Amino acid sequence: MAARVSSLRRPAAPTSRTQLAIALLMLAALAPLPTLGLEIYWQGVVITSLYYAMLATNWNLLAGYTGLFSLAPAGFAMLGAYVTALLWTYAGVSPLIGIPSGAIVCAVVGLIIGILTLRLSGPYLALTTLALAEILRVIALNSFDITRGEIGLEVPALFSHQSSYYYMFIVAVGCLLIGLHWLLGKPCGLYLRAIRNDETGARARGVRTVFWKVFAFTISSGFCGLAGALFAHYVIIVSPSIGHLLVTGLVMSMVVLGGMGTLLGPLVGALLVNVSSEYLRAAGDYQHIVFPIIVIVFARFCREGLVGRIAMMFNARAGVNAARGSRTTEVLASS
Amino acid sequence: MSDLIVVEDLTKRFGSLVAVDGVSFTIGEGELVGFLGPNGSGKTTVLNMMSGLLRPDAGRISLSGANVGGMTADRIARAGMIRMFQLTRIYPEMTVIENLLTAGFALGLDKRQATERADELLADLKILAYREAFASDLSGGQQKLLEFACCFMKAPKIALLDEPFAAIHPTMRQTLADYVRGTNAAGQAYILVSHDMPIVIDLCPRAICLAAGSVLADGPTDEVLREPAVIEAYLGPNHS
Ligand SMILES: Nc1ncnc2c1ncn2[C@@H]1O[C@H](COP(=O)(O)OP(=O)(O)OP(=O)(O)O)[C@@H](O)[C@H]1O
Ligand SMILES: [Mg+2]
Repeated sequence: MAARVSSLRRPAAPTSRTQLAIALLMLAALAPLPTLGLEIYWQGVVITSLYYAMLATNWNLLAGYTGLFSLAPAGFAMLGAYVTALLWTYAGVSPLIGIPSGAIVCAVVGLIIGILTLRLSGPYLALTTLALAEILRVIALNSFDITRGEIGLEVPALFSHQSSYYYMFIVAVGCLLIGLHWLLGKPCGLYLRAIRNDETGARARGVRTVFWKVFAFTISSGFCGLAGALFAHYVIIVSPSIGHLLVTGLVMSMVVLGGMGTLLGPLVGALLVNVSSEYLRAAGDYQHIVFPIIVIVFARFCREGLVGRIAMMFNARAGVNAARGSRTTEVLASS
Repeated sequence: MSDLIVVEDLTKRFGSLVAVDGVSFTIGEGELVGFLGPNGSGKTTVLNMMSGLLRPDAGRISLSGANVGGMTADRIARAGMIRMFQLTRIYPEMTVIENLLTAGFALGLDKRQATERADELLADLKILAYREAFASDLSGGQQKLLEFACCFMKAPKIALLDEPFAAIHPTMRQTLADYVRGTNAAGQAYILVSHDMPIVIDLCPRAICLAAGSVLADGPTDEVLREPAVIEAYLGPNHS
């Protein structure tokens, strides 16, 4: 009876209507702010937060739900951004085609990397994605004739008003979360979580683990590419800094803070980290110290993150006592 | 009786250790076979190879006449050979019902079929009260029952059970044994690895005894247990 009983901590709900509802309410609450006089500068901060929320949500699909550790969310965002930028610069292709192309190229690259590495378990994905992200960034940096290196490529704006981007990112994050909630409610959601919980057990009970891991990685890569391509036409200049590894680190800290493996966590984490880093910036360049410390503290003392911790508090109040009660009787009976 | 499982010359080495050394046996439809042998005799390793989790160094395994040698573990499971682990492998951060549904969906059941079957199993194994609990909150024994139930979401051709009775309470053990006996009477085939002699004698008409990676004896359980070589393997050479 000793096995595994140690883990009495209640895992957080991976998704629920409540979490989706709260996320959509948060987005709905953000929506009217520009008309209520939110400054352009702060609109920009929210837009960037929502862009990070897209990356964080996609990284969470891998790390939080499937147990895959990718180091390339920023790398894929940069790839998606460059696809639309290069198409525009060298073929005059409209962003309306360039943006989905960025997503598709990233999905295809994700599919290939997934097929090559996800048959193996272990650190291969982390190492391969790390290499990929850095190689892509170095290529973008050094192919000056094509990418203009650090200076970057100019791309056309989609809208003339900042607030239009603001609404676009709200809609994008909303759609992403609705889609993810839908996906997690399908058998696929169970398979992904089963893989994270016990991949060998899942395989032995018939789950096509390789297929579903590749599937998750492909989707996640594609949507990171989409986020990057959308962001490209907001910042209007596509440079290698989009793909910097520090961005991936920031995205990871958002997920850890908000709650790994919860639907709402990445959005909460992205807003908290990005908005508060604006304040930290005012106080000096402390953000590079503060966020790693927060991540370490959360990883040690609050592994379920903010959303996870709150969900646990609600779970703990509901319906657990029944199970706990009969467990006590069983222990008594056998002693 | 037609052959459900044919294992020929199965061999596995770990470095210089020959964990399984030319094991052969056949199992017919609907048979319930006990797998005996001292610790480290290779029982789990044989099961690992049969379920596709470990690649044999040599030998063949077939299920209903089809070679399962090069198949992935998940394909073997979907082909109807499913196994339960000696050290429980459930999904701790998922609820009991989610654990069962995952197994059901993976084997091709739809939502209604899977839910009905899961509730039926939970009732049969007397853990229905834990339906919505997280698997990590079950006791060790209850976790074993859950993993056991996962194997039967869709009746397999054969279930390979590795020590299902170890470390579980006598009443639960009885519940499990009753389930095995009942389903076997209805034609379910099993390989049952166990150190629990009374249960093996009670449940299994036939037993295979492994020692140091080889089949020491294979036949009716009472005869296998009377074999001097088996007694020696279990109790040591100086036993008289
Ligand atoms: N992955 C491995 N690497 C190295 N050696 C292994 C591995 N798995 C098993 N062995 C060795 O192979 C031998 C057979 O192990 P196995 O687990 O099959 O025994 P068993 O009959 O199931 O024993 P038990 O009754 O204790 O469960 C042991 O000597 C063990 O140390
Ligand atoms: Mg064993």
